[in-house]
Amino acid sequence: MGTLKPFSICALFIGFIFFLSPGLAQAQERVKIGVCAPLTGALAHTGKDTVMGAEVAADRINAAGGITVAGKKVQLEIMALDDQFKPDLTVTAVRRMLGSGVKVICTLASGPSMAALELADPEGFLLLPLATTPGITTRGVKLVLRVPSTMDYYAASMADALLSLRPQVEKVGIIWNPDPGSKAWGEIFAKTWTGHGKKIVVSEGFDFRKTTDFYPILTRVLPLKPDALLVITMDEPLSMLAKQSRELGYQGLFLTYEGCGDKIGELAGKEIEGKYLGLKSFVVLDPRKMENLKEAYRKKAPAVMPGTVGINSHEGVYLAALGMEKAGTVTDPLAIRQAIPKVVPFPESLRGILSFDEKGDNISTFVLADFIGGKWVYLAKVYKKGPKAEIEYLK
Amino acid sequence: MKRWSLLLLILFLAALPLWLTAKYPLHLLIMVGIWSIAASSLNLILGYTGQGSLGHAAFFGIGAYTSALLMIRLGFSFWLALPSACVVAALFGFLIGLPALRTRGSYFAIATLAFNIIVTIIIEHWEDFTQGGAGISGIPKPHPIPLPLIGKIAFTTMAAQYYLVFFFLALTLFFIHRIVHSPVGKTYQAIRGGESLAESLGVNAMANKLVSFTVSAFFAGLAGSLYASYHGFISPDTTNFHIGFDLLIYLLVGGVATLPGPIIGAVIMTLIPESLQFLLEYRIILYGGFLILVVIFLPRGLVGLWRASLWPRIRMRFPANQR
Repeated sequence: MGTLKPFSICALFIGFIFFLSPGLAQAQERVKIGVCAPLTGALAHTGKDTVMGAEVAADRINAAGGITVAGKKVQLEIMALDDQFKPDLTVTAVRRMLGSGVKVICTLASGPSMAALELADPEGFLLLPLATTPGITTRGVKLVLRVPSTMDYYAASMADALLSLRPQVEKVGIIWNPDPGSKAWGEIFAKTWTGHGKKIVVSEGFDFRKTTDFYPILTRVLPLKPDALLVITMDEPLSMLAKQSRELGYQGLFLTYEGCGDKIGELAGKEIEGKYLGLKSFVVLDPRKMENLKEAYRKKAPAVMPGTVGINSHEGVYLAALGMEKAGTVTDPLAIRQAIPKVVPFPESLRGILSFDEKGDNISTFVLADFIGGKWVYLAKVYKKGPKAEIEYLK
Repeated sequence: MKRWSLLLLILFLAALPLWLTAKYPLHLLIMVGIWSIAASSLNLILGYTGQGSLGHAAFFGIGAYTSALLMIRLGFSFWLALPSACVVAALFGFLIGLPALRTRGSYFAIATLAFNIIVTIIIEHWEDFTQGGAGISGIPKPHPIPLPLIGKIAFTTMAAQYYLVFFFLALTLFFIHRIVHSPVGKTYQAIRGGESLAESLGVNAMANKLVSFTVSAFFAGLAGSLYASYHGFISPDTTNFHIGFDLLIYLLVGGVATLPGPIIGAVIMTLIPESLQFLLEYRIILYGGFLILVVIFLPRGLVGLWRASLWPRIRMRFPANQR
């Protein structure tokens, strides 16, 4: 009995560790793709959208018979784990996935992606981050391919496109949400815009999460007479800011970034009518693609509609699956990484990825839209392969 | 018997990586080790000295950032960066403790929490120095160390990282054990029991609290430094006050003012949420319910339950055990 206490503790401990140990490898006919996202906590809705997008993609691929890898039919399975948006828990989730034989992992935000990036090459898995922070692809990691474009790409292309689409605009005021990503977006836009010989009259942070009274900032910014206001925030705060700006007599243009969606049309259609330049990072020109995706969502969860992160993870799973098919392997992450650039653009893609550069960043088409007559009017398709964005005007 | 149990436990922990080769369980154990050091540091000031700090994530983060910046910017070796990180964290503990420890109870808790938030904001916005929200990547692992008889120990494998963390955990526990069982430790406990009463007996409460807080920050910095090197990446999240609350929970669950309490808390609160991943948000309900039960029915945590109730019953049932 003398040694009962430590032995009991040890036995319990060992049992628990084995309980947590990954199970036996899955049968060859199924391959797991990992998704790390916050499934609990304040950002759970974003994480659930991410998982939903990935699961819908897997369902669509499986319903079409799966993928053919080296002559064998393979079905996809999504392994989603909660990282609560905490980088250390992302590492834990990644370790668990690797133990279950996962070779391709999607991560949602910048911090978690950067934490997972440390493991990609040493542990041998392909990281598909859904974050736009440039740093993810500048560290020389081989096993990484970014699903959305970087904020550098969007911000610089937006400045180029503004110059072509609205040549009368000279002075731009920038108001950004005080987070590092939004601030960086504004800085890159400002650098490109001033590079064109134009002016930035103000660039200021404003906490859109906590404040709904925009008069203090507008009464500082509007007297500087900007021709356009670039507001780096989501639909709801932008709609309130647009209303208050018009009340203060502002007649200029509103510009937004890729995080702002279609909802702004419903919320402030009158205020932005004909004076809006919104960046739509998905190819919305082919309504059949979006309708097909919505239909797939309806089959899985009738009340859920595809959002930005869901479309990103959907795209990520398609890239992984088509890459595996092209590479003829589900276990060699480098071969999958090298094969993915050869499968774009693919028919189900909404993002319009044209190609990937050697760092792992993509060159995607995006659309600039105005809100005219109560509906979205797509003005131009934009992509940037060289130093300046290519603009294809739409009727 | 106590010594034999301890020796057996140490041998068991040392042998664990020999047959536990899967990386995921080893990773969990390494994280348990790091959180145990951090929670033990909080235990010194909160458990033994009775000062409820809610800002320990700041010292943890200061340790992580100091060691990362020293290694990346100044090319320090991990073996130099680690003690420097501990000293810098302790220095911040001393400087913050000077004004904050003049307050008591919830005022002290709020003051330390506010300090924590300020640290996070500075790290997030001082981009030229800390790389802001993008965080610091590529933090090196410890350099190999030559040891007599064994040869060089490289810290590239998970097993080596595990031994490193558990070596520092053992060191932390040893020092905290020595402190709390010394006359100084008794003074801390006297302050916890009644600060005014202790002062009336000639104890310099402020000086003792300040030393305790500084030492506590030193060990929190140690945990942060180990965290940075193990993960290779840190961001302002590493200083988030939620980490301080997590440490508090480890203490509550394991047992405040007990040496094994922080470790038991860290083990349970790391392994259980992992094993319940399949329950998604229901996991949080269970987690919350468990915490409520612990706070109401186990104010001394699981160690308190063992010592006050389970162990005496076992001894009564098996009287031979008492010999």
